[in-house]
Amino acid sequence: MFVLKRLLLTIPILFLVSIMTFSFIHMIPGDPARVILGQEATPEAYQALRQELGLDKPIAWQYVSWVGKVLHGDLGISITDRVPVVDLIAQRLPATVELTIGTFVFALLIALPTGILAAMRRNTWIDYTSSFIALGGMSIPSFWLAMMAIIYFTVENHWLPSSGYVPFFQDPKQNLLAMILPCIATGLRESAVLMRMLRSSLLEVVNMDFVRTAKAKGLNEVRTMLGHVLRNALIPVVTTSGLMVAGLLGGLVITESIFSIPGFGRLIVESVFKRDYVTVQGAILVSAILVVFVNLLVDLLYVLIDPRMKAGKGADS
Amino acid sequence: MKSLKKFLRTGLGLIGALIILALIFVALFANQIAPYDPNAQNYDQILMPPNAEHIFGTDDLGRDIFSRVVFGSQVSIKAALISVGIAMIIGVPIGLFTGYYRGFWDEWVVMRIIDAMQAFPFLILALAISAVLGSGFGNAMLAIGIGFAPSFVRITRGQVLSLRNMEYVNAAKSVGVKDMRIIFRHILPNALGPIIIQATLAMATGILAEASLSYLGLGVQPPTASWGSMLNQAQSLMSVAPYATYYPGLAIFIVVLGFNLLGDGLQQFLDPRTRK
Repeated sequence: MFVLKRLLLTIPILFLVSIMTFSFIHMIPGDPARVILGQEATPEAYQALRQELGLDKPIAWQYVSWVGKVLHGDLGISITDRVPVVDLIAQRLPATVELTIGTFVFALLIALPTGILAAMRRNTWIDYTSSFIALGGMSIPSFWLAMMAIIYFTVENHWLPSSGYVPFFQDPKQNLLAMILPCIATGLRESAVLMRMLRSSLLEVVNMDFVRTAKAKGLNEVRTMLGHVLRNALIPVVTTSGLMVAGLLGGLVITESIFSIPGFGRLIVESVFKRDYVTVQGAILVSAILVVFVNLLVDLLYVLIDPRMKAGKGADS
Repeated sequence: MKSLKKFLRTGLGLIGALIILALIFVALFANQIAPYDPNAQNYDQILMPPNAEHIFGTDDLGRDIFSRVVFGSQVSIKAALISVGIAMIIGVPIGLFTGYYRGFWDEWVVMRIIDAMQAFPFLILALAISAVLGSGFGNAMLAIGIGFAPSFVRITRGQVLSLRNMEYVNAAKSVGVKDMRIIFRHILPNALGPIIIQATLAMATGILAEASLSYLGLGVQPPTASWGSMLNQAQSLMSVAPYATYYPGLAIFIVVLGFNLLGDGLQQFLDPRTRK
């Protein structure tokens, strides 16, 4: 029941996402074709672009035909590069996916032990210090952290490269080396968010009856924590991780720019500066769809982790 | 011992408040504090490392970095107030009305639009909006404000949902108080706590977002000193003048930390579950 409801709920969201993305081109003040081409364009080029973008047709027709194309995997032709936007995005996604995974792994490596430790030693100096450091981690601008890392690891000590991304299958070692600094720079903030979430979620579970039973049975603190508390506390953390993907995709825009990684985020920045609105439009649509599906996946995962959800105690709106 | 711990908890919030007060002070008295004109170029003193005359050094145009950091505080504080202000003006009334009246509009229109808006990664949404509207501080604020609005709708609506069936609200209804008066005089004041916390935390994110957009070159335009655009210009000089990247970033970090500490402190203070 929950699964069905959740799947159905995705439809209106995708519909609205499509309307918002479609409106993007039409939000350009004045005549989009004129703005894109500039004042010097020949009338022929102007007419051609208007036709390509479908601007000469009624707006409802434009929307329907745009959605029709999108459903067939056609996001239009890049205005500046004259190649299909889908191809541009497909070229750029692998680097971003790799960064996302690396960032998550780094964030979890930091967040799991510190979160558990802070919760186990609640209201001690360990708890206060790690909570304070976590707030600090959330406050560091990732692009500044990236610069500091580059100055220390690359400029001063030549330990790690700050650019020179190559695809993983071309040169795995070089690829992983080039990924270390970007993953740390973006992952620190995410680890702070996760750690705080994990800590408060652990503290909520710690006071439940089954934990007292486990302790009464004679289990020691570590086994209670890892065997009973953590499993239940992870549920809200999984949800948070899902929600983090949206923020992460945004954050990678900056990381990719600093470390010159040819990823999805950098494509958006480049296209914004080139006024390649068709590519920007395609890219924001893809990013929103990614987020919708990751959130859907997380909610469905929820049912697997927590069988109580199946009964219909839905997480609606 | 107990009161010490209690102070440690709320004390962090106090430190946050002090940081913000210091920021306001620096922004208000930037003219008196800064030793140089933030935009005065001095070609005899290009890329000077920190020294007695220029405590933070100078940039590639010979401008005093300390003075630019001081004036940058004005941009940051404006960014925090304007972006969150826009978000609240849009988000709070929508949250109040949809939460109070519920029904079709609430569930099938407003909340689904909110869902859809939140599907767009925040910074990408802000980038796209400034791509359409053009770069500049005002447009960046609008972009960030629109991006923040959904979270204010959600938090306000959530509060209203928990308050609308309270006895005192029903009592007010039964003696014939008009809806408008109930919403603004009876529900809103009781819903303010979480909204204020959200606003404080959003200001932290707003400052970060403005710095990010300015760093990418889409926010504040040169020569105005903003911490984000200073980092943008300093980035190409990282190997010759690393100190030029230290202070603007440190300033962003401290100020954002201040808002986060205050927000966190307020949360612990207002939330009975964590107040122990």
